Amino acid sequence: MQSVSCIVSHVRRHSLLYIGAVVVVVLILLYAFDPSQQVLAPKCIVRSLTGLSCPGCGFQRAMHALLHGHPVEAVRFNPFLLLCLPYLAGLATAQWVLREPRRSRWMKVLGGKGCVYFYLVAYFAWGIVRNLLGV
Amino acid sequence: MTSYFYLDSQNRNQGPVPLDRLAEHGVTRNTMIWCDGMANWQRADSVPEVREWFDAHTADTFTAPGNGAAQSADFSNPYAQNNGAPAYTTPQNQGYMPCPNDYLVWSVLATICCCLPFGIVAIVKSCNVGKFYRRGMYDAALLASEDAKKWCLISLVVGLILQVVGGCLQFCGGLLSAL
Repeated sequence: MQSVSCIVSHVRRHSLLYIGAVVVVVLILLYAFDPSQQVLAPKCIVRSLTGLSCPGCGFQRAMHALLHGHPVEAVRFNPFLLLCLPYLAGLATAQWVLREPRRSRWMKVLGGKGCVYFYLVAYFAWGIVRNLLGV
Repeated sequence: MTSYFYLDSQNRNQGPVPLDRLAEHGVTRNTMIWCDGMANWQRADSVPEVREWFDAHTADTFTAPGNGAAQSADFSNPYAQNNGAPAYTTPQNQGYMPCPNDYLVWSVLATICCCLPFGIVAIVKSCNVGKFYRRGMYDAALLASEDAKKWCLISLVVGLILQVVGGCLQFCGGLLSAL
C-alpha cells in the first residue's frame, strides 16, 4: 500500500512533467498516423451517436495536417482552430511562461468573463453553423 | 521546477521562488510555504518535495552565512511565528494568498478534444476562480479551482471510457458482420 501512495505522490509532484510527456506522445502519434485512415484513432462520440458533427470534429485531422506543415488544409478540417489555438496558446503562455505580475494581468483578460463567454458562444455557434452548412 | 510562496518573519507573503532558491531567501524547514495546488499553507518540512530538497542540501543551508543561525532561532518553534498574528485565512490576509490554479487551459482542451458537456462546466468553474479571487472570496476561489480540476478529469475519464466502449462495440460489430 505504501508503494502505491508513494507512486501517487510522485506522480502528483511531477504531474506537469507526466502531462507534458503524454501531450508529446499524442502529438507524435498524430504526426505519424493519419487519423482519417487509422481505424484505432479515437472517434467522436457525438458523431457516432447522433450523426451530427460536434464543434471539435476534425481536430485530429487538422492537427495531423498542421504538424505536416499544411495550415490551410488544417483550417479546412476545422476553422474553429483559428480561434481555439491562439486562445490556448495565450492561456498556456500565461500559465507556464509568464511570471507575476504579468501573469495575473493576462489571466484577468483571458480568464475573464468576456473572453470565456465569447469562446463558449463561438463554440456552440460554430457547432450549429457547421451542421447547417454541412462543413 | 515548482515555485513556492513563503511567509517572512512579519507574516508577509513573499515569492514565488523556485525550490532550489528557497534557502537563499531565508526559508527554513519551519517556514510556512504555499504553491499552486496546495489547499493551505504548510510548514516547509511537511511538503515532501521541499523536505527532500532540504535533506539533500542541509549542509548548504546551515553554512549559509548569517542567515541560517538567525532564522533557526526565530523559527525554532514552528508555531511561534503565528502567535498573535491573524490566521492565514482571515479576510485581511486573503489578498496575499496567490490565486489558485484555474485549469482554464485544460478546460478549453477538454471542450475541443472530448466533445462532452463536462468541458463546458469546467470552463465556467475556471472562470469563477479568478472572479472569486479578485473579490477576496478566497475559499470560494479554491473550491471553484478544485471543481474545475474535477470536471476536467471527469471529462477526460468519461471520454476515454466511451472511446474504449465504442471501440469494442465497433470491433464486435465487425466480427458479427464478418461471420
